[in-house]
Amino acid sequence: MELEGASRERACASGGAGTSAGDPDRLSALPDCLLHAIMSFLKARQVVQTCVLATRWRHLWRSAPCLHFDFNEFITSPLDHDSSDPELDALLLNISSRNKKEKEWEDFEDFAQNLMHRCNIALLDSLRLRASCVPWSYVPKFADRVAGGWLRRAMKYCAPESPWQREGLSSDSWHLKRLYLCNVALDSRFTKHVSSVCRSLEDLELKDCKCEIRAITSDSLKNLVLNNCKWYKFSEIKSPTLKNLLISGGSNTGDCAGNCGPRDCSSVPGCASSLCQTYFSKSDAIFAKVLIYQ
Amino acid sequence: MASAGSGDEKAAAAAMITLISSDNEKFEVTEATATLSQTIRHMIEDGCTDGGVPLPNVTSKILARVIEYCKKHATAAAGEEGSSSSFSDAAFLEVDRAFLEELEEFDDAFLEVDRATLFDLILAANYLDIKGLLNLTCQKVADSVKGKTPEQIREMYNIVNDLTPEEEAEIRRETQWAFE
Repeated sequence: MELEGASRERACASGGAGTSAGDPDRLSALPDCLLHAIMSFLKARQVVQTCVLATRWRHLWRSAPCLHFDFNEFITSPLDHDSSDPELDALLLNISSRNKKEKEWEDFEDFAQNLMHRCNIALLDSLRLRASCVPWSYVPKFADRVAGGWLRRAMKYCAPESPWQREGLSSDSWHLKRLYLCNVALDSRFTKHVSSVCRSLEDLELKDCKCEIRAITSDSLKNLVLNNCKWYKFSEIKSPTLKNLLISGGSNTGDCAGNCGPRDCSSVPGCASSLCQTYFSKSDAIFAKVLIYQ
Repeated sequence: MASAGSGDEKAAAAAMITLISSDNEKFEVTEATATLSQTIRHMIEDGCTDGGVPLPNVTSKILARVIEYCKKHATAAAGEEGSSSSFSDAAFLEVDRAFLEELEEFDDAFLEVDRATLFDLILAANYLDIKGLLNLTCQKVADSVKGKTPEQIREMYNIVNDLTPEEEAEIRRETQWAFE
């Protein structure tokens, strides 16, 4: 079914070879791997929604190698830009009804649980899970725990029963390379999975997470970013492969050093390798104080 | 040995590689520029670039654009390559903000192309295995559909909906959780 708008737009955009009315669908003609590459820049809900585009697209989402679960995708905002004006945010918060906001979280919850079950988690290269949202919307207090549960189940069921028994077989571990978590509650089960199941994990980024974790141990991790997390008795990072460590903001309570900062190098003893570069900063994560850890 | 007017002079004795497009046009580039392509890098490593590298899948029009991209990014290669992660070794140590900004501006301008060219660039980047260019072009397509409904995407890219109304309704039922 030819749509008028499309023809008009093509007429305007034409100029390159093969652009005329009725020009071929170059997008659907791309091989699966390239459609997946494009999908990797979209958030998960939209990735799934491509299933109704045409037969070609029906099952593509199931094998997408990158999934980005983001609560923001479920927020029906009266504005479509991020506001940095707190007064405006507060106003907008009042305008929208409480019920609507609760439904937004419910929809996200339904979506995340369904997708975690239906997509091929074991094939993932990259998983991003963001259970926080723009300031004018509402996140339930338990959101981080719920999200932590999704992650734990994904890690549990994507992976073999007992990977440590069949060491050395790559098919036994989750080949996930990148994991990004925002506002997800993590505990020792998470670190156990990271060390025993996520054996290909190279990039781990935690932002605004509540972590009841004492140590992060991995034989594959290269880049570790810990941004504004609340730690409890966090004391160790052990990863011989680690190249970059960035700790920015956050707090650590319990019997370890108070705030994360340059003085806390001693609190990451596993990292005492000259290969590892360590960066600590409060605000500008990349360009502020840079400390090379020797 | 001076390179052909590009900014790659720092490699004083830069080896030159000849790339041959599908329409038989020859492009001479430095090895540093060419090796942004993993495909060409492997060919160089295997010593099979004498007499030029034929690229039967890439037209001269597209190859010229690809080379333009590679020349600009060759100097930043150490930080760019190997990983799509923005968090890689050299990038953090010798970050030159101005240079990165300039690179970003270049990329934005580079993407000002019609859609047919954009798809040709995606295919070329994939064939030549140039990660940065592939990410850049795929992101451009993704950005263009971001937040759009399936109907809008079909219209935008001329996707013919070959699903029967019954099939479409069934798929929507199966994936209702993604449409609510």
